Amino acid sequence: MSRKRAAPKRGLSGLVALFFFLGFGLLALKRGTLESAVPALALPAVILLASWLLPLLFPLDRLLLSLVSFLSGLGILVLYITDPSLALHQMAACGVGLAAMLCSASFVRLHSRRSGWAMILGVLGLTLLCLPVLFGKEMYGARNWLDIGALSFQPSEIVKPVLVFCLAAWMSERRILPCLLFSALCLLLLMLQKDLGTALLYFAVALLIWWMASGSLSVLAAGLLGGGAAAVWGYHHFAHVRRRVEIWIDPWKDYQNAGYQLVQSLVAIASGGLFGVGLGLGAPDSIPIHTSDFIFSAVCEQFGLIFGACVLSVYALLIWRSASVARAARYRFHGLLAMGSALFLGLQAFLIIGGVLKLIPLTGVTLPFVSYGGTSMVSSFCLLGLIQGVESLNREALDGDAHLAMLGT
Amino acid sequence: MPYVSAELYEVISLAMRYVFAFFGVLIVLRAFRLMLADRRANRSRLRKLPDAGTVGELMVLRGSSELPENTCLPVGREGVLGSVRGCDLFVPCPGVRRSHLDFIWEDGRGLLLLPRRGCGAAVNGAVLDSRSDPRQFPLCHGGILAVGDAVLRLHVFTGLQTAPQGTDNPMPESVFFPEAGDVCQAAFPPAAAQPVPQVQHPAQGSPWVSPQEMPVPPEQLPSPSSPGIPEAYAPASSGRVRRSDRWKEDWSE
Repeated sequence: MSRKRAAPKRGLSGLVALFFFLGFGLLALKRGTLESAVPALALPAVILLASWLLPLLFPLDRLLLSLVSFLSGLGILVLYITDPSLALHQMAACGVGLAAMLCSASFVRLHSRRSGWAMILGVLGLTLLCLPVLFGKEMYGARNWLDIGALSFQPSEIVKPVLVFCLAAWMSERRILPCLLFSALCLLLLMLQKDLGTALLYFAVALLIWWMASGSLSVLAAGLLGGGAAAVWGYHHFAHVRRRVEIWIDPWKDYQNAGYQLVQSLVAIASGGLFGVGLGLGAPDSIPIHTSDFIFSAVCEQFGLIFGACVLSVYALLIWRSASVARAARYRFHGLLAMGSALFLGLQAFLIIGGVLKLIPLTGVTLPFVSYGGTSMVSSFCLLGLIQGVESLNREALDGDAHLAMLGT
Repeated sequence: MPYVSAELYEVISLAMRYVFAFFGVLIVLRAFRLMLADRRANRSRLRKLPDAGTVGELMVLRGSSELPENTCLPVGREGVLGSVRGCDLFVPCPGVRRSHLDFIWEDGRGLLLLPRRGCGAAVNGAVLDSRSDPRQFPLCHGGILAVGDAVLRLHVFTGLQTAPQGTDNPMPESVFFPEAGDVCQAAFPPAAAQPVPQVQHPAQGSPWVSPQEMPVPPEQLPSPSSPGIPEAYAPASSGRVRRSDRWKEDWSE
């Protein structure tokens, strides 16, 4: 990218860095210690450095990087209000996530047309999904966590980029059978883990990738009908699904028990008003699971609904940009890869924000790049890396075309 | 750090709410403007490169009333050839199915064709079906593709390399500016196997002809007796459709 084109995007990174400087600076005033001033300098410095240095090392899209740094920084800022140690962990997870992004982007560039990799990754992914069923730890009703020594992670998060890669590789070669088999096995294993939110996400993404690859509306209609039938069946056979729907319809009926999470979330969002209660004021820790699933409620409480709408707009811009990358891709595989990754991020954000705002029944998924959780952060960055890899290939192809056009004149 | 009382902090924090909301809106607007600017820049760049994303074009040697002869169809790096408008290569001719075959460009080899199940095609006379290995029969510069009743000829843009017909290895650098006889030829039996006009480097002295502008001499067209190629045909006119007109006529949808 030319220096002339890169400069405005660095300006956006500067704006993001200034926002976090002000945010952390304000919190440092509240705490009044020297240590509390460190994040006010460190995080903006990291954002500026990443936006300047990373694109020099690797052909990354600066705009995507700036948008994601805004979302990640926002998560760290909200976590810092209630528990600085969580914010520190989240910063470390962001660092690992950045490395994962570079790895997945490089992987796309190096092994973009090897369907053999899809098979290897698919088998690895299924093995990972099997582990929680056998040795998993139950948390919030789902047996989807795995403890290996001091390390605790969610395999279903790691398998997300694998699912996108495998489906894109197989669908681009019109290999229907492995595609169907892999998607069905993933869904089955997630159902066995009782991780219904992630299962819903996997199903939606697989169906949309399938539709994009085939271009057939009947496939989409059949998938939606199948999904609808499965949802009705689940409602009648699983008590917790029925309870989720009842909470969604009327959370106030049992607001001290089943509906407590949603009611607290709605109260927090309402108390924030248009401009929020003020950073560091209010009671974000009164929202249950405010660090992960309900972090959007905490953001709205602290910064207000206008800012909440801005966060939603940032997600919309992220998806739009990724869709542009997918549309400009030269190969079907790359297009499906970028669009599948964008769909994962977008649908996940929609599921949890919609749930928190009581637009749809609540499902336990994290808000990409914002919620606390190392696995979720690394997985989201991996998906971003897939998009970045395709974008860099697109840019190279366009430069190649310009070169060929010069040869032809 | 200076000590700030709780009351003072509350006042500052309440005031800063508006600053944060302003920053939020500013970041979104800035990102939106950058995205639009990028979009505009990309569009203007693509306007200057009308052939971006394509590797060449398939010239119709024999088509139908909907697909006149000498029409050129831009060929992307990957796509589907079929008789519906949604296909990347729209060939509305009898015998061509809705989605007839998939094609993919492989650098150093050529255009690989994968007919769908129950569909067939002929590359330079060699008949392909869904079980054929497409790498054995790459369509190279000047190669003839027969699909249904349509007969098309591939012109690869300058700078892209293809392998000679029948070889499994990528072609050497000499293909880029080939010596006589190096160019991939249509594999029609001796009478029709005329050498394709060569692409020459400007440095070689002789006037350089881009593949897009190469004329198609009638004697170079495949003979009616060629295996896999239907009845004899002759182009309606010797002149090529202009690139600008072509876009309007064939790709207006």
